[in-house]
Amino acid sequence: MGLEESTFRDVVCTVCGCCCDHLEVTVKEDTVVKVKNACAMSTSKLLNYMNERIMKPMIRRRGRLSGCSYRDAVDAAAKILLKSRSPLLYGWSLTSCEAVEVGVELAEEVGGFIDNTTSTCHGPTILGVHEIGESSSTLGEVRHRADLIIYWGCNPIHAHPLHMSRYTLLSKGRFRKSRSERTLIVVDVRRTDTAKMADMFIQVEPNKDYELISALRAAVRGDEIEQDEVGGVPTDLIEEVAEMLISCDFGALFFGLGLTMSPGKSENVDAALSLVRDLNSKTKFVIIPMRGHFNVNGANNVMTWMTGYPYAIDFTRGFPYYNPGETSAVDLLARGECDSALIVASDPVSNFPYKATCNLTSIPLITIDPHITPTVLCSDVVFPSALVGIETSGTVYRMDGVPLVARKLVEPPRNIRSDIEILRDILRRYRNLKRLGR
Amino acid sequence: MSALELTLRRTVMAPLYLDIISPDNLSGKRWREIGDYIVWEGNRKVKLRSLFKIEGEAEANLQDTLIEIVGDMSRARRIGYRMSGGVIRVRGHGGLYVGESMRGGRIIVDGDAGPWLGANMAGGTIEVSGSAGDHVAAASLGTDKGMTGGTIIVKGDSGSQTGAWMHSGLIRVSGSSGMFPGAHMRGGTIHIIGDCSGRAGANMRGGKIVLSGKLPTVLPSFTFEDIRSQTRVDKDNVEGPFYVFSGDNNEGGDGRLFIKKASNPQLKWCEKFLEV
Repeated sequence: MGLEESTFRDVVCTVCGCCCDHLEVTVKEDTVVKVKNACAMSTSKLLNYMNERIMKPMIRRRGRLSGCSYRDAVDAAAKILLKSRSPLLYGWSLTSCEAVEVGVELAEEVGGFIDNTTSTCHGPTILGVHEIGESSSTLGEVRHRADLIIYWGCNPIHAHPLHMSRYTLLSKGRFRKSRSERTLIVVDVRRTDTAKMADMFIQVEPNKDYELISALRAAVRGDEIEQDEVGGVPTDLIEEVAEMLISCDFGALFFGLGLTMSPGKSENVDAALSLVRDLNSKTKFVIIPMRGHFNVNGANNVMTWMTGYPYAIDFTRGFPYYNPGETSAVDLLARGECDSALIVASDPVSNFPYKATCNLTSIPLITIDPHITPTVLCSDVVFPSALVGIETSGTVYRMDGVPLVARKLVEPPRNIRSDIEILRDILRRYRNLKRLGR
Repeated sequence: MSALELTLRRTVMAPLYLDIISPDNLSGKRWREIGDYIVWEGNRKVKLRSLFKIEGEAEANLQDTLIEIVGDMSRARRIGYRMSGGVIRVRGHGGLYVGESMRGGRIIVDGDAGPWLGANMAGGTIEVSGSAGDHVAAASLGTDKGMTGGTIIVKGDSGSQTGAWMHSGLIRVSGSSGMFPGAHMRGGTIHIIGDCSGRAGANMRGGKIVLSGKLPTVLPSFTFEDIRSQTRVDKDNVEGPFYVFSGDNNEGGDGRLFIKKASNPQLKWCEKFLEV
């Protein structure tokens, strides 16, 4: 990490849930100068991570954010949390598992709600798994064995650019060595770039995924379907697809927000999990969600170890309680049930529904983030933080549940601390203030 | 019957856990004693009297106990939790989980109710004059039995998953319903008088869903059975004619969907399966 040029090999990417661990990053004078093996998103992040950075802690005074000492910011944050009856601690998917661990400790100490971005992406997946269970595998197993791949309601060419080349269609596995040995089916509402590569593209009408999966389940079981078409897909084609699914040796179904965030949500996932369960009575089939943020799976894992629940956890009464819809961030904020919030490595102001955002910006807001975001600009206390996987190390979980270590490549800017240090300092100050009865 | 009246004193900005408010807990108690009860307001324990102005008296006999709650309870949870008798009347929004696991008695909400109205309910009656949220009479997370008895009447609309995992009892919705009424249903009756957003009876194994309004489509895992001129809900005859479907075949189910013919011309295709 000095003035000499040095190259780091097998670097873990911290962009999407693929967590590609084959990157080569060259660093000179504590700056990333060259990136190899990465996708466009990853290359852009690694080469431009210093753009739009926050360089000092800030506190809102007389309506304007102005610079302050780190100590003052910690004190202000701890006082907000101490005064709060119903604080929300949200984010956690773009930071390390170690930071999430401190976050859960802080949530328990302050008696608040802790939720991660799962509740706005694959939360329904977790609810579906609660009800049905899942037949899953690692991406490595898919790479080596899968001869039939389905992408349902996702577009990996844009959202997970190396997913197809590293793990599915274009990868060279031990038993499946080339593209010609694999079949790709894409189900989506429009012909995406991923769909253009498919052997079979099934264009389902918007919000008709559940109906189509139900029809596929019926066809897989050999039932007659009375309707001529389901969700805009002819019944003959549904029966043909069912035959393809049954006759493969190893199938893998990957699904994205097209299933989890369209009407039906957890019931859509429930249906997909049931389809895979039915298929496993005839062949080998697995199902894997296409997780978005690089450590959203890690946040779920750490919260589950520590509390028994993967997200949307309520500590207000001193014990962990879990009920998405009641205790998840968007629902709490939409009902106006939180009186302060701590946001870690996330930007809810940009992507929460209008009513939830209005309530979020009307309560005392503390944000820990490396970059300037709309959430930062609406905050009362702001902490700049170091980027996990570039300026600080940490454990992350790939979308299939494989843990990887994201390494530190360069030194963070002066006086910029990691999420873990900031959270520990807030927790320490909170405990001191509480002990002193302030 | 004299009433115990609880009037909200101030605006509450945090979740309020009011499972203590039920005739079973409050009947025969003096107002001073009731005021000393501790409830959670967010992460703080507060006395009931700091939240409510308490007037009147609770009857000593459980069945004669009437509790009136006045104010916006939209942030409250579990009013009437596990109650077995008496009456609760909420003048305003009822909050979440109204009447969860109730076994008897009556709850009247003069306003809307939030999600999980009557979740895991086993007996009694709930009447809501406004609309209800998602998961009416459904199973709470972690349980696989929703309503097992009793009656819920919603005069307005209900959200999605009305009657999910229901085993017995009656739900009547005068307005429209969201998606998945009767999902995973095992028994009981749901009557939706208005329109339904779709996917009625998904994964149902038993029970009966009567839809008098429009249903966009029937799931492909249901089989068309017949056309009936009328059907029975509780003690009332509901005039049809109705298309009758059975399913959900994907779960080996034997539930029944009654869908009013006049409101659903898009389902005319199924008449080709009728014997001439």
